[in-house]
Amino acid sequence: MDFFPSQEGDMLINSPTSTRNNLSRVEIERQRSKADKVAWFTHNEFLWRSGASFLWFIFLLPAISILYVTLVLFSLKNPFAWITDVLSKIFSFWELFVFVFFFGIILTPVVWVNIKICSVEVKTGVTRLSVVKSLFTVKHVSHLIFCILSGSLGIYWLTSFTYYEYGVFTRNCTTFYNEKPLLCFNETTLFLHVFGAVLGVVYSLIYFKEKHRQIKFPVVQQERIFRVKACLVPCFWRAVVVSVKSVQIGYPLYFLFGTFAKGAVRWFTGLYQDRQLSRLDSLYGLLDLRLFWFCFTSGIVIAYVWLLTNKLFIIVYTEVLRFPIQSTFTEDADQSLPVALKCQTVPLLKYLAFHDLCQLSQFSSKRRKQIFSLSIPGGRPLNWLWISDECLTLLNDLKERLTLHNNNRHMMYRVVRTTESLAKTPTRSFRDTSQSSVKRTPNPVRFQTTSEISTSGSKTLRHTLTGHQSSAGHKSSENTPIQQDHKVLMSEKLKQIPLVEYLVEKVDELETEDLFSDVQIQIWAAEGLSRLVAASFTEDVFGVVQKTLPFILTSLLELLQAVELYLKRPLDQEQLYRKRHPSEIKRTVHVFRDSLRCSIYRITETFQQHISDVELTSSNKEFLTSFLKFQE
Amino acid sequence: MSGKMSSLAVFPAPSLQDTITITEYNSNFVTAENPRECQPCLYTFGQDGRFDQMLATEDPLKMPTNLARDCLSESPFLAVEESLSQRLYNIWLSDGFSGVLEELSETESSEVPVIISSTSQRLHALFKWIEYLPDRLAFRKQFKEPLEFDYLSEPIKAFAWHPHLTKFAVGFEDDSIRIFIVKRGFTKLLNHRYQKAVSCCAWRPLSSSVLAVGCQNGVMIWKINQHSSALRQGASSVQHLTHPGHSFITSLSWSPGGRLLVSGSASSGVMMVWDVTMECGTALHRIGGSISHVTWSPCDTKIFVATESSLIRVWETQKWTCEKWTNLASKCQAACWSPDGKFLVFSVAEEKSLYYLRFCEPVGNTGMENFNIGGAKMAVKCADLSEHSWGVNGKTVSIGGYVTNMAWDPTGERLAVILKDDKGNTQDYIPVFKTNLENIFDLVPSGFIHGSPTDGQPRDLSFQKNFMQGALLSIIWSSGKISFIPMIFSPRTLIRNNHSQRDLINGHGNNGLYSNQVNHSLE
Repeated sequence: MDFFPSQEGDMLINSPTSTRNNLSRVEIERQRSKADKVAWFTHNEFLWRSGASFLWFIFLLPAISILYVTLVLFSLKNPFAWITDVLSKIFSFWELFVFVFFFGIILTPVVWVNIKICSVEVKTGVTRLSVVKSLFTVKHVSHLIFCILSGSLGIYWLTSFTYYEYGVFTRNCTTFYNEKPLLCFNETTLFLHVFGAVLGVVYSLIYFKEKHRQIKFPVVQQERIFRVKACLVPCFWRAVVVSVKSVQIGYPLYFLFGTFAKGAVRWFTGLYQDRQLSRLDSLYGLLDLRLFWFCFTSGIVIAYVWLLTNKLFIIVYTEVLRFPIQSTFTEDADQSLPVALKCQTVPLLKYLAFHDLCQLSQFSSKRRKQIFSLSIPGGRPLNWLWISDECLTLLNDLKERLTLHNNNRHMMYRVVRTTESLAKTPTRSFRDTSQSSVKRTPNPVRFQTTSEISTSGSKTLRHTLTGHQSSAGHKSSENTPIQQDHKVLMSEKLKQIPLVEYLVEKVDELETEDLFSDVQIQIWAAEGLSRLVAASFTEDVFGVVQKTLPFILTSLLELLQAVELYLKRPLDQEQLYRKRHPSEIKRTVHVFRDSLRCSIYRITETFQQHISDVELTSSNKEFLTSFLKFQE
Repeated sequence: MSGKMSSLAVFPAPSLQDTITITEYNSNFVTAENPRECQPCLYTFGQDGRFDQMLATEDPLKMPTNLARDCLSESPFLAVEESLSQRLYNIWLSDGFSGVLEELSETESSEVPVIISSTSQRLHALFKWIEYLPDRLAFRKQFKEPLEFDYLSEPIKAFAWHPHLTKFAVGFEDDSIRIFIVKRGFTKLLNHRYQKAVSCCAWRPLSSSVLAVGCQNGVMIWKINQHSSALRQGASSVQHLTHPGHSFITSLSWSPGGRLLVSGSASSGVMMVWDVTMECGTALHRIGGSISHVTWSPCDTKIFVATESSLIRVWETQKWTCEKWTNLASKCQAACWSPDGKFLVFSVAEEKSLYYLRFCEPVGNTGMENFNIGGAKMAVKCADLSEHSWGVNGKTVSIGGYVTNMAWDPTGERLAVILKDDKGNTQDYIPVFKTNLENIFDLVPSGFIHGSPTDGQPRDLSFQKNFMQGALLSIIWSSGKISFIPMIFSPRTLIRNNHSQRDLINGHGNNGLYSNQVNHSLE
């Protein structure tokens, strides 16, 4: 009947250190196994949310189309004709409907791919090489292909409603002195297809470069309509940029290689060259303003639809999903908050759960009460234990990662020192040549190996280093020493080449991104925990939170120390420039540090002098005292 | 809901014109005739023994002379000779293309051909013009708005107590901000070339030394290094938050959680919500004219916004929806939240009274189910402040008028207001109400505070946030002086906690934490 054997219940009071580990291990395992079966989310919620964003897309498409028609038919020479043209297009309801319908269908594949490859955590690796490598993954290549197809088809479809003559593949070019009917190849079609493909490529590259596939949660969670409204105009400007870039690339491309493409098409189809019109791959041909305007506006509208739908999707997906704290029925037991927090298979679900935790800790005393309550059979604070355990695991994981990184970096500098003092011998010249290859920053990989050669005794040191490099490093260390040295030397030589060095060198920003890839849930975990602890001061009638208070404080304090140590690391010249205009991930790390500080302050401010009764290690206590005195 | 309406007639008779109120003790206001007499009182009742010496000195605001830079002394840094290309590259990295243009237009003709420098000069001018276009448009619009320019010429333009520490920031006429720590005096000087026309400042909660300053050019966020002994803060410790059209900040308020900051501006009706560390803002558009006042409720779930029209709004901070109250007699002039966030007291410009709005429960208690703000439909009038005259020692003292400013102490027991009469002159007497939030909202007249005749009129009120013995009111006078009135009483919450200490189930009493008690009992 009971959840735990009785001894564990006793442990709960006796030794708080082992409590958390032993008490809920069984339960957590069970929860994990439950959490991995989150079919309900992918089926119901996912479908529902995708449907909602798609509905928005359908609603917005006619408006965008009308805007497009207005723009593309614009003519300075006869504005009256323009207005009547536009009105007649708009009021030809059936034609407009068909146009919008098929336009939507043509653009939908890209929307679908966008939805498929969006994720909350985007990892690209820590070197430039890995970034390049990530461009050639299935995801990116398929996205690129879909974009190219959709772009060139889309722009072709746009001609059907506005400039029909651009879209036709052949044209009758019978001249009056030559009676024989002739079919000529319409070069504009080819140009438009090329332009559409370029547009697809540009969009796809921007999509990956600017991380549009990353789902970012907004700080100000407004209602959907306001968020959609707020992104309409910025998306339009982005679309203009995409279109300008496509023009910048597409026009020169066609100017240079248009002849070959045209020749190839004519060779395949056996159509004639139209002698009456000027060639499009000539300067004069490309200066056709009407064609340019058509390309430019069509590029804007296609990119706009793609960008906007992606934004719409993210907006709908980042909305708060409310999880019940505990479920009354067994069939939806896997939909409760503790289960969702532990979800490993659907990262988005985990993010939504942490988001909900942060929200409820701030806004809903009713649900907080549920967390602080005891389970009905057994009378144990299971909800609180599950939630706090998951948050603490998350925070401690990051703390370990950071400590390892900081230690490693520290070690690296010590290695540099030892090599400098020991190796005034042949290795000196070796290092000099490597230094002459521009870089001032100590390249971690290089120093690791030089140290190995010069100080063969420091094996332990090498171990710690290679242990952090990668698992591949471990495998190679199992080879015979001679082979290994040979390999190391080879790779060392390779790394001497400036280009290779540039590619395999660790980039600080990417490294930060890699370390703090889940920083958003870390922020929520820290805030949620601290708010729950602060609320427990008045709301927790059974005193369930105080059991875990030492762990929470220890985690927060140590993590804050690790983050501060990480942020204080020495910077090289290039990064100093960056420091003035910090990248987004740097700012997010600062937000994380701030929220850790706020969390600790929130706890100390609530508990005031009582906090000194919490059992902590002396160094943590000292650190906590500085918070009590507001000296941080 | 409310008890009977409070009015000035029920107040005890005010003291004479030439006396000064020193303190409130046992619900009586202690007055003295000689300003010097007040010093011992302040020493006795101050939280840390005494209040800052600088408050008593005649001219505390003088700049220390050693700050003036000696022009003759040589710079400790040597100028580095850089080639033009290197210089341009560095500028391009730091300031972008427009920086390069600026540099090119300023370099001498020996280094750059005249054509290039003149073209870049023109291009740079064009860029500048385009860059400032939105600002310029906003500025033109802004002049239509009634701005309180008279207020801007005051010697003290902004004042803010730190939420956790006994220190405060004061914004002066010269647009510098100075930080004073009680017992240590003037410690930091914050000025920046963008910090012009300072109107307000606010300390970040749950942080020791981050200050937001609202000024003409947007919001400046100062991260004050409290460990350094340097008086002046470097420009590297400031962050500048701007949004097109969001200039002439009128009011600032931090979220109690310390992450977000809201600001209202005189130039647009947009309320900005800043994620300060990320340096990004979200604009919340609603109709209703420019914003004169924003305040985040202490319970973290609501934000009060007053506009220049006869309209007030309250936002909830979960879904960021708002409720509005229209048809006020005129625009809202002053407002403050009760410490529990359940009551909002406000005054309007053309009515001599105080109103309150009751909010059922904080959003949390009703659950997140409906995100409603729970505000009452109608604002209730709770105090009538029309003129009343007293005969004091044969002289007639008349007090009453429109409320221009008010402050509520953090324990929710004292409410002080500044009044303005029909002619628009601020009155010398500051009425103080005792407030009761226990079951019903009640305003009980307490007494008047009167300053020294040389101080001029009161301009702004503020309560210290961490005063344990009751409440400490700081008053900013038009002469540029700040006076401090301690009010010594035992807050109800404290009394209640002490009474119920023994029957606390969760053991959060003064005896320590539950876990330790259990541990001790087991040993």
